[in-house]
Amino acid sequence: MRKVSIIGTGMMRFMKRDTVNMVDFAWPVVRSAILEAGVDPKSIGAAYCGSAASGSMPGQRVLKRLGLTGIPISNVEGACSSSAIALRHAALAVATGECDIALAFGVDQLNLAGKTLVHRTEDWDFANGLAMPGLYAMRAQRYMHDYGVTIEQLTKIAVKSKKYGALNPWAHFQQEVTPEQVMNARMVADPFTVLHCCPRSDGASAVVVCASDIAHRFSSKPVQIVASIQRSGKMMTGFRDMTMPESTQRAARELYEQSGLGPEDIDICEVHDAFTVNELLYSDALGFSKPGEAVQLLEDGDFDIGGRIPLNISGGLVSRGHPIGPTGIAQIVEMTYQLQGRGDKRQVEGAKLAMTHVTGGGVAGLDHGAVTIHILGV
Amino acid sequence: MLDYEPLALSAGPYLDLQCDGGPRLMGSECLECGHRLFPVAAVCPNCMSDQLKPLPLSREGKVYSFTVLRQAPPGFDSPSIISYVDLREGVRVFTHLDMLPHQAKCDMVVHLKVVDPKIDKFGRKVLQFKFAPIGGAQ
Repeated sequence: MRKVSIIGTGMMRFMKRDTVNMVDFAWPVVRSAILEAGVDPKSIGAAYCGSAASGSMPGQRVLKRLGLTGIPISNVEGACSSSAIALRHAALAVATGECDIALAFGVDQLNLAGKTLVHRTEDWDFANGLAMPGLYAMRAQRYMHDYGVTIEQLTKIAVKSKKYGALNPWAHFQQEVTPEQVMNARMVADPFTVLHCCPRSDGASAVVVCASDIAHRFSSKPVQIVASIQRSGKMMTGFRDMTMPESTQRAARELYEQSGLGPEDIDICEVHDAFTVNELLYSDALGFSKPGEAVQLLEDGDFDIGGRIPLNISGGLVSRGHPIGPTGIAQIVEMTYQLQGRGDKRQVEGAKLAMTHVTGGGVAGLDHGAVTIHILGV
Repeated sequence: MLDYEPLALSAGPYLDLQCDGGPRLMGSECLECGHRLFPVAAVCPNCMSDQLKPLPLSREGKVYSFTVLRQAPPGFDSPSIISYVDLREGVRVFTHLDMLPHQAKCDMVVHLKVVDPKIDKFGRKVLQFKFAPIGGAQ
């Protein structure tokens, strides 16, 4: 298979955008990725759109504005993993020789979608009153119980997230907060106040990828997709360890094996922090820490700029926002900035290998419906 | 064999109210591979066999984890204490806890309690049971 590189990025500030049609805010993002890549739009051989709450054919609805039609347009749904999966498929189309240049983007307008994201009547748990904040709150409760983590420590994650969100012009929340503000905010699901939770955002994100051997024609600093994996959670009905997300752990192990890399090789990472505790859960699952020891990395500043593995320096889902469909590619765009030295005030010096990790969905019996992990490098 | 309901929420398949010794939950056990699950299922998610038998479940269990949902989904009381409760048979049940928020703890022992059901937006009875602490809410 051919190697694949990212040559163009498009991003916008994630926020509440419920007064315009999503097509109208999405096409400029896609266009900016194509312009940054500098490719002839007619040379794009395939397009993949990741979306979870935008109905049928959002890809065609956005791309027709740009006349990017006639090519295969595939709409990919995988909850929060949607656009990460879209990117994976775009990269596979190039890797297998189906085309030389492909587009992947994500779009959703969550604030015009239904109030409850997950309402699956065939799922016992969700039919009986489970909600995503509740699911992660239960993971947090057990993690705190098993490893002695305190609410003050989880609060530090929220403070860190807002601190870096304040440095990111694309972030939904760009204001720092104090621990007191986090602790005294409205309680959502114990131990989470609203400042531990990602907001409902609207937005779009896009990347253009091409075969690595032609990437230098378009970009002075292309970013290679070093490794990519997509898995689903395993159906389990017994006593699952909710402090160790099995799909992430399994996918990460396979990805490291495939790529010959290990967690110690990764310089910077974006994980799926829909809620604060996720940074601990996923640090453990991705192998940055041993089970239960992520909180020590947090306390030692290892998740900050200058630390061992800067985590969610974009502000993550908690601060950058979480429009679901576009979230995976927003992580990819952020890591591309970092590897190209375009991180501005949040630049991590010398980053060579970056990881993005996004899970997806509430399906009772699976820890997650989907998990997608990418390693990018320069 | 039990009739399969795609949505096993109506009384009967998962809650046996007529049992001697009090109500109990019903799960399934696979006759091919021994896999156990709750609620009742028509096919085994471990080996795909459709040969399953009803599995009466213990009335007592242990709270694996819980949270207090301050804004429960539509149709449920706010706050709701939601929980995963582990039963001796090796199955985990998503349920609500019938106690005060400060009482809820990981690993506490709880027992099955039939409650007045909620009616969901499709007109079906849901949440006909909770788990309560030994000695009740206090």
